[in-house]
Parts: sequence; C-alpha cells; structure tokens
Amino acid sequence: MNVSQAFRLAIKSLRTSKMRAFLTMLGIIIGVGAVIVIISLGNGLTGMVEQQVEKVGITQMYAYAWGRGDGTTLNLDPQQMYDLIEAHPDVFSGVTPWVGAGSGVRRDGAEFEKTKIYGVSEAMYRPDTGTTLDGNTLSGGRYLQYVDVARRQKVCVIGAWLEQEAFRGDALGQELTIGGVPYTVVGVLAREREEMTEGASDDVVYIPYENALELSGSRNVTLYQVMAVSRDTVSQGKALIADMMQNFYRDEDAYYIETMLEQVNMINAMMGVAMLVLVAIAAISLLVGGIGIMNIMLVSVTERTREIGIRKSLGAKRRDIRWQFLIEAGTTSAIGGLVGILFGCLLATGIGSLLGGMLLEQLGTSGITFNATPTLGAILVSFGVSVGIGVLFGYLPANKAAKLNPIDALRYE
Amino acid sequence: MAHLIELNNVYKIYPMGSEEVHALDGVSFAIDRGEFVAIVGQSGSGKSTAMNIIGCLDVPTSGTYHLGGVDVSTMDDDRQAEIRNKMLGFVFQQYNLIPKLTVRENVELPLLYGGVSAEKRRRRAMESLDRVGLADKQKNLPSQLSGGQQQRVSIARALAGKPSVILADEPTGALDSRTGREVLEFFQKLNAEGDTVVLITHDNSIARQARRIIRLQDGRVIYDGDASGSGAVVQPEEMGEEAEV
Repeated sequence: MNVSQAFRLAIKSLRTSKMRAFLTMLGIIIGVGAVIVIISLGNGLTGMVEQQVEKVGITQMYAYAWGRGDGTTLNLDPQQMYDLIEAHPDVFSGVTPWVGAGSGVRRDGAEFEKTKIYGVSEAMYRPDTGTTLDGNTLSGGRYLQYVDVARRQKVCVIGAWLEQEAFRGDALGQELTIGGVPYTVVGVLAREREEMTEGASDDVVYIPYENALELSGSRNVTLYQVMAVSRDTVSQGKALIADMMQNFYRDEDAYYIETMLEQVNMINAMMGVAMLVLVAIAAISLLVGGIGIMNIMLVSVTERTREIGIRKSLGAKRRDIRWQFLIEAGTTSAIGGLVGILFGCLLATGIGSLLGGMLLEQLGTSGITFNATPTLGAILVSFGVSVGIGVLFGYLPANKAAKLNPIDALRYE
Repeated sequence: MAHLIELNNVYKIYPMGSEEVHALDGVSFAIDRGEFVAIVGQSGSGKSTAMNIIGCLDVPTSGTYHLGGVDVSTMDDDRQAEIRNKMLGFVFQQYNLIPKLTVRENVELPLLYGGVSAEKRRRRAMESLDRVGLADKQKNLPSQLSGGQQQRVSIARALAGKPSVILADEPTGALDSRTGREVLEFFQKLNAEGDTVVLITHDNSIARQARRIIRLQDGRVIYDGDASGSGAVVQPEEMGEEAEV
C-alpha cells in the first residue's frame, strides 16, 4: 500500500465522522492560531520600532563628555570632536554639540514657559538630505548656518507648535525673546506629531550652541549628537570616539557613548525573549492538541479493531496498518494546522489593526504603520510542527494497531 | 508431488492457569490441490485452531505446517501476512466486510496489500464480482446488501487475489437455510472449476456438501475420508447434540 492510498483512506475516515475530526483538530487549530498571532504581532511591533528608528536614524550616537568632575579644567573642546569626525569621513557623516538650555520663551508679552531651548550647530541639518539629524524637515525658511554659529547670531529655528501658537502660523522673520534677548526666527520645522501639545517635541527652539551655553551658564558642551555613515560603521565610530575621550580624560567615568543601534538591538532582544516566552506558552496548547489526537486515535484503534483484523487477514503487514493510522493522525493535525494558520492570520490582522491603531495614536508619530503579518517561515514552521505533532502523537496508537494479533482482532466485537 | 496443505503432528497448547489445554493434540493430514474438504467438529474440538493455523493466522506450538511446499509454521507476522495475501482467501461467518468501503473497494483490499496497480486492481475486482454475480453492486456499501449478497462479496474478495486455497469459516452460519444452500452450491461450483476449498463447520449437513471430511474431536483427527463414508457424519458421542440440531 502506498502513501497516496493511505492518505485517501485517512480523508475518507475523517469525513465519516466530521464532528469528531473537528474537535480533535481544535487543539491544534488553537495552538497554531495562537503561535501565528503572537509571531504576527511581534513582527508588527518589531517593524514599528524599525520604522521609528529609521525615522530618527539608526546611525545616531550620543557622546556624553561630562569631564572628571574633580575641578580640573580638563574640558573637551568641540573642535577636537569636529577634527575626529572630519578625520574619518568613511565612518561619520556629521556631528553637532547638543546643549540643553532649559525652557521658556516670550513673544509679545505672552510667556511660553514649557518651550524647550536647545543649542546646536549648523551640522544638525544636512542640506544633502534636507533633514535634521533627528530626521525632521523644514516647513519653511532655513536652518542655522555656519556663520550663525560662528558669530553667535541671535537667530533661531522653531518647532511647528510654537509657530502656530505664538505666531499664528507665520513666524518667519518675526522675533521672540529668549532669556531676555530677542531672536529672529529664520526657519520653522515640520510638525513631528499628529497632535501637537505644549512642551512636546513640536514645542522647541534651536539656537546656536554657544548662545545656549551662555544661557545655561555652563562652560562646556557635554553632549554631542553624532551620525555614522551607516549601520555598519556605528560600532567603529563608537570605538573611535571612546578612544579619543579616553586619551583625553584618562578616566572611564568621564564620558559615555550610547548608540541608537545598541538600544534598538536591546529592544529587539527583549521583544524576542518576550515573544519566545509567549510562543512557548502557545506551544503548550499544541502539546495538548497532540495529546487530544493521541487520545482519539487510541479510541479509533479500539473501535476499528475488527477492521484491523480483517485487513491483516487479507495480507496487511504491520507496516501497512501503522502507515494507515500514522497518516490519519498526520492528516488530522495537518488540516488542523492549515485551519489554524488561516484563523491565526485573520485574527492577527484584526488584532493588529485594532492594537496598531491604539499604539500609533498613543505614540502620535505620523508616517509609521503597524503590520501584523506572519512571515512565510513562521507559517511553514507551524505547518511542519502540526504535522510533526500528529505523527509523533499518532505513533503510539498506530503502533498499537500494527501489533494487534489478527485472530484476537477478528474475534473482537 | 508435494501436497498443497500438509500438517504433520501439529500441537497447539495454551497455558490455562496451572494446566495446559491441548487445542490440537498431534494433528496430521494433507490436502491436495482441487479438493473440497470440510473440517468438522463440535465447539472445543480444535477446528478453529486448525483453521487459524491453516490460515497462517497462528503458528503451531510444535509440529510443522507446509503450505504449497513451504514451511510456514515458524514464520513471523509479516511473512505470514504475505503468505495470507498471496495464497489464502478467507470467507468468514460474519462476512467481515469493511462497512465504510464500497463493495468494489472491499474486493480490491487483498490486491491493494499485494501491491497490484490501481488499474489492474479494478479489473480483477470486477472479474471477481462478476463471478459471484454482483458486478452491478460495485458502488454500493455493504450495508445496502442482503446477508447472502454480502457473503458473496466476501467470496469475491477471497477470489480476487487468485489464492491457492479458499478457507471458509462457518460461511453459512449467519444465513438462512436457503441462502446458505446457495452459498454452498457456489463453493461446489468453484471447486468444480478447480479451486481448492477448505470449509470449517460444526454442522454435519453442511460438511456433507464437501467431498471429503476431516472430523476433529478433542484436538485429534477421528475421521478423515470420503464425505459419504459411514464414520463421516454421526459419532456415537455426538448423538445427543445431533438430535437437537
């Protein structure tokens, strides 16, 4: 007897008791469905993180230069940082000092006390891509330029919320007051969030960093935002900066460099572990499904003892009988697996659009989508696993059937 | 020339608690090609055990059994299955058709396990059904047929593999007397056409339809000879039971 005959026999046997076949499959359907849903949602989340990072820039690094804190005047000059970056054009594509200068600006007597003030250099903006190092774009005007920074000109680039609230949507060329000094708005950034709120990322002012240092009363730049050329040069770049800082400070606690790539990898690793745990839990229902198949196959073998006896008396070998029941178990779980995959995909799409909508609303970031679709690999693996479970748990009953003594089996009522 | 079936001093001993039951107690006989033999005896006479051994469903505790010149008394399960498939055609009291398979699929079963191709299976099954006059019922399920028809299907199944021996175990036991007679006549017809038929029964009137009778009692052969012979039918010890039948 060959496999295709055994397969047809299995289908026939399943069709004679549809309800039982369905209930037997249910465990596998739920198990496979759950695995597919979890993997799909996990993929959706990973994809969302990737998109978010893509927007901000996976090649971002933040180099903190705190100094030794022992009162020495060992301060890193921004020029040293510039020199390092310029010396390795194959590794770095840009750097800007990043100086937080508190918050609060005034405009025509109105106070916007939550508006954040940052000092950056012209390198924050990349004319070739038309974006800032944060991935934002200009909606009008220009960015800070070399001459603004070098001459500490009183000019600024503002966020979309501030333009809307303080200038009624028309800020270019207008003035606002920062720390009592009037600044001219030369550029406005595109809105970052769908819903802009006070104090959020659209409520900002960028000024030349030395102005910001003065404003904050600190003498030194303690944070640099650095861009690597690509994902692949991030770790090399980190090492170069670390070397330079170590040579300068000779103290490991005086500086710290974090990279977006490492953070993303960490998030992905954490999500991977979480997904693994969830999939493992879902796999328990696959196990239960397998036991269900074994149970029903054992019942089936007992019910069909006489049939087995007849088949044996007509010349069926142990192998033939074993195949028949193994294929029946495998077919049951394979069909269950297929239904589970279908069910899982539908459910994942449903949950995905619901959950995705909620998540995106919470994050408020535009241009990011949540796609809860399973990978082809996940589908193939779940199908393979479900067939495997059927065969694994079908083996015991099939073997029991194969070993039946034909005389006893024929006499069985 | 070797006999088709040859049992030589066959014992079948079952342990029963501390005692041993000798289901077959040194049985020897031979059956040649083309014979029509009835193995007859009361329940407990050992005829079912003899049938299981002749049918390669069981092996003797000691002694030898040659089928078609081959010693099959020490074969393992799967070799026995092969012998059953190639050389034996069973007809059972309860027909033993598989209820969810059609008539033709039932008849094809021995060919399926014999590795015959689908096209050939179909043709031989139809030939076989034609022989028992049920070719038009090929697509029916067994439950849609009468008892006599079902038994004819099971005969067709036994014939499909072109076996050396047709082994019928109480083939009329579940049938009314008229249909039973028809089935017996059919066996006679098969025998006339050259098939070897071995009939196992407890019923003397049925056994008498065969040409030769082997009578078993307490695991021993007590008569082996022509069906019309004087010792073939009634034994003194059986008188009581005979009267009731």
